[in-house]
Amino acid sequence: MSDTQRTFERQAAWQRARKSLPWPEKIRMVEAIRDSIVLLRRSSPHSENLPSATPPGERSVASTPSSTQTPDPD
Amino acid sequence: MKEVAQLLNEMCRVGVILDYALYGAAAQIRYTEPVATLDADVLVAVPAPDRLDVLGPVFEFCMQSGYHPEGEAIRVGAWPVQLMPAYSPLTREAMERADTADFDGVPFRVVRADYLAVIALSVGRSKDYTRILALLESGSVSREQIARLAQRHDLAEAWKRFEERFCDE
Repeated sequence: MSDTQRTFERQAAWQRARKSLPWPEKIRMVEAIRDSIVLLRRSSPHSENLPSATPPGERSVASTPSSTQTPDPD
Repeated sequence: MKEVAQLLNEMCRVGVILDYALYGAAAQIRYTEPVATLDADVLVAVPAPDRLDVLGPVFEFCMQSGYHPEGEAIRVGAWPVQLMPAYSPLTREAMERADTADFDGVPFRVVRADYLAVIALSVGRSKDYTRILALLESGSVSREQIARLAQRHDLAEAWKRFEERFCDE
């Protein structure tokens, strides 16, 4: 096995170990990167209807959604 | 996310909703490595599911509580929360059989791994298939559990195709 392969395997094991973190901790990790994701996606040409990266109160309120819409889970 | 749990629990307490359960990626993260997601998806049961504006009272309550619509969602702290009436036997059952997790001291109803997998199977996008594989790899659900649940919800063929494509190597 090459050093590169061993490095990949160690990294994969380290990444898999994160599944054992407490759920609230993992959610906080996701919250920490959400705004960066939104900003990156906004720079793409297909970026309509993305949620805001700014805190509530700093943007306009959109229209009230209808009850018949059936969004897929993210 | 704690604020989301508190709001949903309060809506249950006052009767605006009868039950709820978090699903989608935020729920998946309970069982797998963290994955990027922009929204919190929540199944809800409402007292009057036949009214045309089925989520109207829920949105009214949220606005009265200081939470405002943002696109298709309601912004609660850092999260746009998308509420989905439990629209099918599968999602109703997923909500009814959800776990009550502890989120920093707040009870939070979360859809179980087996139901997350079968809901993903029913939606059938690439990222849903990725979710199923992540749940399987985490060991939080087995192929047999998914097969049984898929069978009960008329998704046996979809599961067979998934297994042929992704599991049988």
